[in-house]
Amino acid sequence: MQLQSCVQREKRNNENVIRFEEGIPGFFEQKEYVLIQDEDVSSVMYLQSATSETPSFVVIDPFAFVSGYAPDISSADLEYFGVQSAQELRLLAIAVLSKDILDSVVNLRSPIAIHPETRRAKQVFIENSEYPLRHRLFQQNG
Amino acid sequence: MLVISRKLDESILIGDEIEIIVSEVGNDRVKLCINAPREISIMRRELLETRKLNEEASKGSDLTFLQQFKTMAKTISGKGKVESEHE
Repeated sequence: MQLQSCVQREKRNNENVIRFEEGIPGFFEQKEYVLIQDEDVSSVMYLQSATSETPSFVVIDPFAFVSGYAPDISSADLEYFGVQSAQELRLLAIAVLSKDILDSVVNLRSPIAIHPETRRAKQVFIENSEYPLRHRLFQQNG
Repeated sequence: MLVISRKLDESILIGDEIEIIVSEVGNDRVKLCINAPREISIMRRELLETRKLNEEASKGSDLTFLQQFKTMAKTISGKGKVESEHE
């Protein structure tokens, strides 16, 4: 993984820098991130701080894994982004990789929401509680 | 655990300085107003848990397990096989 060189390239190509005005919980001081697409798997991406080596997250497209994923974004968050519905936002889920890969989880409860045009981003808390904070991505009995 | 039943606009006190008032009761949620000194940290539980999860997620950035993760992801994604655990 040559994430750092990717970050440099993406930063020059300013389009892919996204901005979390409020930071991300746990990393409030970091505002600018670069979203890097994995070369082999379209549903896997990397959310990497644009200014330092960490934080660096593996993120996934939740819709590719969870059929019928329908997060209810609060009206306050829709207003924050200036959109009418969640469909106008790109949503990603942060993954925690585990040594036993079947124990890897993704956060479906607070996805990363990105406005595709303004590139503003925020980790939002969705209103529906049926989606867990730690969803085992590779459950055996899917 | 102490369990107290309250009606709309009633409140409970925690110590001398913290008051929690029930300000709105809906179908599946209640709105609370909290009076507390500034130095008391108040946050939704999900925020604390998300913070922990984010810290854990970023720690895994040595990406030792990434190749295996990607292989699994490639196999599963797009097939709509994985359902949410809780419906």
